Amino acid sequence: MNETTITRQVAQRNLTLTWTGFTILLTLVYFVQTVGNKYPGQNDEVWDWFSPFAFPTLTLMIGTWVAVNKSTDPEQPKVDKLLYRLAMGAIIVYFLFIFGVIFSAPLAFMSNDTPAFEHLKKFTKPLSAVQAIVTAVLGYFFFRENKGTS
Amino acid sequence: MATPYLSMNVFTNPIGCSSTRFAYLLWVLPLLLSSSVNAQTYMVWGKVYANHMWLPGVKVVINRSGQEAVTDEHGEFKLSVLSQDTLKLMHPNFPTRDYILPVLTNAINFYFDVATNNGSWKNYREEDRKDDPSPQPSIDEKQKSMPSFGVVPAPSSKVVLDARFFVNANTLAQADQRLNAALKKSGYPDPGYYYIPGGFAMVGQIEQTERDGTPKPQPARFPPRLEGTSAQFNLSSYLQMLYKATTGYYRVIIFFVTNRPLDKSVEPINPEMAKAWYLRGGDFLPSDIGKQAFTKDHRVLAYIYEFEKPENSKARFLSQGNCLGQVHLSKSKIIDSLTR
Repeated sequence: MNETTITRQVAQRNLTLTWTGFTILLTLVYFVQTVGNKYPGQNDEVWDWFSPFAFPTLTLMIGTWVAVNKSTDPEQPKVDKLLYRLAMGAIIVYFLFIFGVIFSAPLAFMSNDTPAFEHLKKFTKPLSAVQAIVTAVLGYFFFRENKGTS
Repeated sequence: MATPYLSMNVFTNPIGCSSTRFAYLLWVLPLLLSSSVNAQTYMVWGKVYANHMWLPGVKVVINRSGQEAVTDEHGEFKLSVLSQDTLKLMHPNFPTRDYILPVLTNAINFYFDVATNNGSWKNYREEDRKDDPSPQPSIDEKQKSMPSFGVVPAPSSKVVLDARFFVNANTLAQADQRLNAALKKSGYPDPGYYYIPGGFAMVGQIEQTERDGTPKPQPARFPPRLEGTSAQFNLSSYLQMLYKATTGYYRVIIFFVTNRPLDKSVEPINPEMAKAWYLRGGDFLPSDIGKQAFTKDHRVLAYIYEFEKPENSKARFLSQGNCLGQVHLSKSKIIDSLTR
């Protein structure tokens, strides 16, 4: 195998697993906050706020990955490793941004009395913008036709 | 020949401009007539009082139109109303009152006691206004020197202070000095004073506490506005705030020094009312009240009003306090200061 390339299947698997891991972590944070009654009377709204940032892309990634694994094509297409790393980096930065928003809520509350959910809502647009960029990068791996090595 | 031309134009062209105007008039005329019938306004010359004293600063609002007036120093206001309008009377020291005016045929003199929620009216007569009309509240001269507290809302908890704290007090001024010194030692700013029948009321500033009644350290203790909480930053408080909704706890302590039963209401209060109590109170106990004897019949009552402010909603009054009144006075160190 060429050092500068990686099979698309492996890339898809790794990216999907990374996205899944972050989504599980995010859900876990939400679950603990719900148990602690962090958002009294607003649990559904908070779920509605953060689920679009993780789940639609996750289901697409899993769906595509499963479809590719079922493929009997012996010639595994390959992708540029640099692009793969870029995509992985984009996912990590994106989720760090989401966690940063959630974890900075207490600081915002201490400094200017902003309720946690109000703080989250302030970042809806910037997060959506970053999500659009990350989705575009991932599209290269998940929604591009199989044409062999990039 | 101008007239025949005009009449031709009107009657031979029924679909034209003239018929449109006619139809328009048919629509508008009933509206104009009905509005002129319904819009008959009457002048209300009102006087508002509480505890036998004219009450300035009462906002009187007509529910239907939103038109409003504020009572002057003699408790007087003037509004132009419709028959059967509802007046809303608002004052920080009293619950908001509604009064539905009767079917009116004339201007009226209107009298309302916000303390007892009783209103009355009679047809307007100029001499009634000049001669301080009936029902004439008897104005206690002592009340002129400071505001009257009015009806006392039910507190979250209360304590009757032990008489031993005031054994050396022979006058209300001495009881005031004792309480005032204890408040100062406990870190409270100067209180606000009110007249109450048989004595005076002393209102402390709204303060932030822990859930158990311990005052927050400054500057969080007396914040400019009610916040969810004003925690100092450390890892423990951060983690707690990350996973739990933070709640701010607030209280107002009012001391009543009197030898008469308090005029109480069960209507809930809100933090704005509590803030207004402090801000509107007199700066000191006037000498005409202070020189009255502090007798064995006098009691010093502490009423504690608690509020909680959840992180994501408005502050609310706690009719059932988080701790006993005695605990509040101990945690605030007022009891310690009185004992010394």
